[in-house]
Amino acid sequence: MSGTVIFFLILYYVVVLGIGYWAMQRGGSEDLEGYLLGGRKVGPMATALTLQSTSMSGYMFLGAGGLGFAQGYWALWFAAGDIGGGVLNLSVIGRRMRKLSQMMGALTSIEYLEKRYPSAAVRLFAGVLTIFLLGFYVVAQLIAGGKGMALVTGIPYPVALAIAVGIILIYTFMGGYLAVAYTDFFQSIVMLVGVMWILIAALTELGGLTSANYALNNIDPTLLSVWGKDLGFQGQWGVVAGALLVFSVGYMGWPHVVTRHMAMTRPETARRAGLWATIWNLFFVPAPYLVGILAILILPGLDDPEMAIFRVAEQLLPAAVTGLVMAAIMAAVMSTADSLLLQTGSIASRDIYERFINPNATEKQMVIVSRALVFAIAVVGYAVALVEPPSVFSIVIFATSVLGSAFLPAYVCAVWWRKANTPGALSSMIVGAGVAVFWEVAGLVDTTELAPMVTGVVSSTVTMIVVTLATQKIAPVPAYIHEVMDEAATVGRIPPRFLAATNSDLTNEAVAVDAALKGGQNNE
Amino acid sequence: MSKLAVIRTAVFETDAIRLVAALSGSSDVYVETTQYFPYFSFAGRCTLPGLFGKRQTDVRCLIDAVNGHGATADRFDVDHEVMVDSSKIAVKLTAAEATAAAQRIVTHSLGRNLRVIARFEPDFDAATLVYKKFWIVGDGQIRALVDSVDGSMHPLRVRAA
Repeated sequence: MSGTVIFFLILYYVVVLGIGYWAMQRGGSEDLEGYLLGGRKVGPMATALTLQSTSMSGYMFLGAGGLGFAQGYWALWFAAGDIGGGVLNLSVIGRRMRKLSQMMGALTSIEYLEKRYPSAAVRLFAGVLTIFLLGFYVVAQLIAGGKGMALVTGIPYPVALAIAVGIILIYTFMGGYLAVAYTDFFQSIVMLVGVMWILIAALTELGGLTSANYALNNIDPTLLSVWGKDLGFQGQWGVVAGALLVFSVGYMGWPHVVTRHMAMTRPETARRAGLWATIWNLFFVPAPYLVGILAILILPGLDDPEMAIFRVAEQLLPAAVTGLVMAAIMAAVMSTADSLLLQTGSIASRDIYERFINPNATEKQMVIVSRALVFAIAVVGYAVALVEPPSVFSIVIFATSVLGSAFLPAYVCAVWWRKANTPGALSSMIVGAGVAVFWEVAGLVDTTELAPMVTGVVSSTVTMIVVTLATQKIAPVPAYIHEVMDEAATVGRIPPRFLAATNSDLTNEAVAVDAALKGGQNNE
Repeated sequence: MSKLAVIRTAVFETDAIRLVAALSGSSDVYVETTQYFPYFSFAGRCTLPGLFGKRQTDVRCLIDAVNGHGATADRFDVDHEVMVDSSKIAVKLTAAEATAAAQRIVTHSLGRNLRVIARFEPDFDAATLVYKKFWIVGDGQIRALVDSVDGSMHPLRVRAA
């Protein structure tokens, strides 16, 4: 890599840090408070792009490109699921989840599960499983960061990996970009511009998409097929369904994504944010897969498919632009990694340590627990990434499949099915996670032609329904949960325009006022 | 009758009627009554970590004194109003419970928004009990409460015929 690339990479980070510094200094303490605690200064577009920059991880630049390079157009099944995933999540559980979690007073997604399915076992199992799987996901980000850093700087991979891990830890422990929403917004724009620039450069190099498709056809016609290279997945609808599901409905089972639903601002902001996120996804999501496919023609001798996007950028773009693109990739890795580590640390301290080990834990003790876990994940992740790094794609798909399989029915039923009870949810989580892991570890995909995501979600859903119905008498849903769900579902025969203008922040007040007006029992 | 601290009204009776009338399309909208909802208000300061050094910021939080749920809040002024007790929702939370909830909510919000694992430990002044006025507006068919501070609205259950 040239010095110019490194210069622009450093310049990028100086700009990002400068934005963070400016945003935090431009106002007095009152502005800062409003930004950090009020959240009213961030509009729907910034909200959407902030979410997208953290959810689009290093996978998009390494895993997606690598898959396109290895399988051709088959890879776009994953993109198709991903594009619609955000809207699907928002529609199915987003708004109702926000309202219910607020009414139940839950701050984290794991805490919400325990409040909806009252049982310590639910929180313990969900917390431990999430920590384990998010740890996996972090390892994928570390590998992506290490590979990117090694390519950009030319230093050996072990050293580059150590630097990437170190930077991510500093960000997570000390605070990196202080004004996260502003810097994330900037990063999301850079990510989009960067990946579109590579795609356009690749298409220009190959004379357009039609010419590229002809050239691919000459190399191997099956690369143009929806069944993968050498028609390896021909007729395997179970595998195709897994590819579609993993980033669409799979997202609904991610506790760190569900947490975002709970933190949404008012519903009207959420609706417009969903629109912006979809527009951004339409452009961004298919691009890395397509670049990977085009890399088959541009870099026929590429030894590591996951480096396809890096290498295409290096080969086709001017050094300054390459620096910008590399920065965008590193930004994706870091913004996702620190979010995941924060989430993992929070679950460890709040949902496990404070809840089960030390209920009187001080803030200092909980910070120590969070940091210790994050440090342990970083050390173990470094060792795994160094000794025998699995592909970023494999890790991300594994973690997503197990998370989705375990939690999808639990979260969806938590907001839509009044009968869903604790035994049903707990058994569903255990069976879903167990089946998905077993399917993956035992390598049953090849023999059964069914993806772990498919078997996991089907088995956890069936378990949820069967166990819930079988245990209605011995474990009925508490009446107060029914009341909360009824309140979240309907307020009577209210015109849609009226409902659309409703501020769900006021639901608790509305319930109390309603009770007071009816019986006067709440009044003094 | 009681004299209580009430968050200053910015949305008045006529505004509330206009808002609900616009949404319902009815011309027979009127304010049925007012209800005063209690909150514990917390204000204090907190130290934020960062690559550019530590920085102090004000922190503010309102805890719903009925359910114990909370939200971070803007600054507000308070007026003292006299009201009949029947329009006042009863407080069900102790100050100690509210303080614990405020600490938790502010710490959680700061950690999430700053995306950093650090000690915040907001230093709150003593909690004060404040009330917010809600206009209960209806047209005989639809009934809603309107926040007298920001004008946001939430429907109430439709009364039985």
